[in-house]
Amino acid sequence: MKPAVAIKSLSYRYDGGSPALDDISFTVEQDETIALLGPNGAGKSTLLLHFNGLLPEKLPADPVIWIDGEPLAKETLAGIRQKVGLLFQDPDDQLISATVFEDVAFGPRQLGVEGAILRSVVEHSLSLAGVAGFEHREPHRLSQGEKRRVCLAGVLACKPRVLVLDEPTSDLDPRGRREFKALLRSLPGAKIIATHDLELAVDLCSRAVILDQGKLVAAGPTIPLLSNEELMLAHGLEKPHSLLHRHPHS
Amino acid sequence: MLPPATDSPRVTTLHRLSPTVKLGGALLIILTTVLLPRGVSWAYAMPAALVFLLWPLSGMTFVYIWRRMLLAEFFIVGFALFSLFHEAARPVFFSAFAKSNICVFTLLLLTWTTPFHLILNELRRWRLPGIMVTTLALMVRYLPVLVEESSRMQRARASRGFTRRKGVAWSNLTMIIGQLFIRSADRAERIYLAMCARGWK
Repeated sequence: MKPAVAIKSLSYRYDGGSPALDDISFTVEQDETIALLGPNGAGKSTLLLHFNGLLPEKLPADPVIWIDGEPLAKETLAGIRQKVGLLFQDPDDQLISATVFEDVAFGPRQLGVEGAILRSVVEHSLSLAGVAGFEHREPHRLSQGEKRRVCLAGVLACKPRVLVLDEPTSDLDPRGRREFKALLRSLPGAKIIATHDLELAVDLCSRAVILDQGKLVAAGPTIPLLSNEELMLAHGLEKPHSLLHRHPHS
Repeated sequence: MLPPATDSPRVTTLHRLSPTVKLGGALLIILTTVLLPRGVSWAYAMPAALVFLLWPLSGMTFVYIWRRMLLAEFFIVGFALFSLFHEAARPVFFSAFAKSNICVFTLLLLTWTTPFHLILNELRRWRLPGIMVTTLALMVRYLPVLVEESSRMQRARASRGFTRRKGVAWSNLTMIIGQLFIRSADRAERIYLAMCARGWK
């Protein structure tokens, strides 16, 4: 079976800046959840934008990213944007419409879905994200946790094969974090989660990739990787509390 | 902040009317008012009487009108006053003042009785260019975010000893506006990326 995501020798630099990503290669298998870890400025968010073809501004002639075996190129961009659902770090950047219904309907509308089918897609996505019945709510009146869920519903409405999430629990309280984690666990498909929440990585991700200064510095099964205190400290991270008294191979 | 869309707590006859009728009616009143002859004329009494008759049917509160009209008056009177500088333009003062007030009042009635997303839907149905509807939708969506950001910045400054002293208050305000502008530009870029990620073309 083809991997859900494959990246081969991806490099990127912002105009006039130092390399933001330097020779990154890894794959994500179907239905696998991986964590993308690293200190601030490591290049995590920049990498996430590449999965959706939002970066680079001009796609290279030789593809460096494959989604479900399909190369990310100018001709395949629209299809790949449907396949890859991207959840942004700040929900207010993603919630663009006056009501929740309009917002969740935004993606399907771009695909030409209208009428009764659109209504059913929106209802189904809201229910998957645990915010059924929120159709007429105004985004600016929602709590942070509710905003996250509505954003997720908006992404799910496009029926993506791969979910890419940028700091999905960064501004949630402990209960919100727990509930959102359970929600993510219940969703099928491959997931790439960029996060500083190492407990989330331990709970949800079978593998982790560590980036630092745009380079991939380590990759492997999450628990052994995150149990390596020396490695974690060297890259601005720390061993998660839940692993402090746990044997790395248990 | 002044809510951009309706915050009206109760449902009245005008609320129950279809958005098509309300938007169509509002545009008709505005168009008629704009086309009225310049100068002092009894013709202005017609649209004025109509909107004043509709007011009680809408249940629109005086406070709602007062706060918004006061804000609009700043521009209306300011603009109308320009006509007093030239003798030939003096008759325009009354018509500019009356037309602007009737039009603003009509729009207040519309936004009080119709949620903004229904107005947008209607505009979309009337085949207004998509980019225009999206721009309007984004403006309304992000007004509360901007207001929230500015109050966070004001609080942060206040916590570091800024007060509303004369002079300082103005420089404080200009700094906040400048910062808001930069942050808005950054946010606009992130919003655009988020829209593209969901297939925006």
